[in-house]
Amino acid sequence: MNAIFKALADPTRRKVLELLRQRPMSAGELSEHFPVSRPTMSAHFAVLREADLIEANKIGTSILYQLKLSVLEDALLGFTQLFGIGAGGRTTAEAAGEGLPKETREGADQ
Amino acid sequence: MSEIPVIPCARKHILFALKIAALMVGVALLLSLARQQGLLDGEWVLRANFVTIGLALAAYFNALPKMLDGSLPQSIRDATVAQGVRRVNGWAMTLAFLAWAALWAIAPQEFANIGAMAAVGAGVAVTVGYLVWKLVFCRASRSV
Repeated sequence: MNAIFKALADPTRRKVLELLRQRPMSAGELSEHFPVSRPTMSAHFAVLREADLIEANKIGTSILYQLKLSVLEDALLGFTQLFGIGAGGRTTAEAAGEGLPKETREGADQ
Repeated sequence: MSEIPVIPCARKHILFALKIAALMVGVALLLSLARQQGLLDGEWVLRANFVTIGLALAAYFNALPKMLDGSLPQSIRDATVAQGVRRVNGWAMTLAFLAWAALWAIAPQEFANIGAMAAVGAGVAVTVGYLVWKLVFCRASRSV
C-alpha cells in the first residue's frame, strides 16, 4: 500500500496514469507529454510498475504500457487528482530519483 | 516478457477467488450455527449472509481490473478495448455489490430484495452494454 501512495504522490506519475486511462501507450508516446529526460521517465515507469499500477507488454518492437488499477486504486487516483495531493514543491526529476527502485524488469523501458 | 508470469498469475487469481468463496461459506456456516443456538433470528441471519456476499463480491470485482489474463494483446486496439471493458466491468459490478450490501444492511426486507437484484442487474447491463458497444464500434472502425 505504501508503494501505491508513493507512486500516486507524484504529479508526473499521476499524469502518466491519467494518459493511460485513455488508452495503452508506448514509452515514447508517454514521454512526449512531459518535458523531462527519458531516464527520468523510465524511473517514473519503474516506480509505477513496482507499485503494480501499470503493466508493460511487448507488441512487435515496442513496449506498450497498460493500466493495471483496481477500482479502489482508480478511485484513489481520482481523489489525489481532485485535491492535487503532492503537487507542489519537488521537481519531477527529484521525485523520480527518490522513487527509483533497486530492481527493474529487464528491457521494459526499451 | 509476460509469457513467464502467466501460471503464477492464474494461481494467484484462483487462490484469491477461493479465499472469497471460503469466506462466504464460512460466514454462512457461522450464521447458521448462531441461529441454531438461538443467538440470531432468521431475518438477521438472512441479512448478514447477503451483506457478506455483497461485500465479498465487491472485493472480488474491485480486484478484477488488476487481473490481467496474462496473454499478450495482439494490437494496441485490442489492448485498449480490453482495458476499457475491464475497468467498466470492475467499476459497475463493485458499485452494484456495494449497493447490494448497503440495501441488505439497512433497507426494509421487501425493498432490499428487489433493490439489490436491480442494482446487480444494472451492473450487468452496463457491463454487457459497454462490451457490445465496444465490439460494434471496433468492427465498424475495422471495416472503414
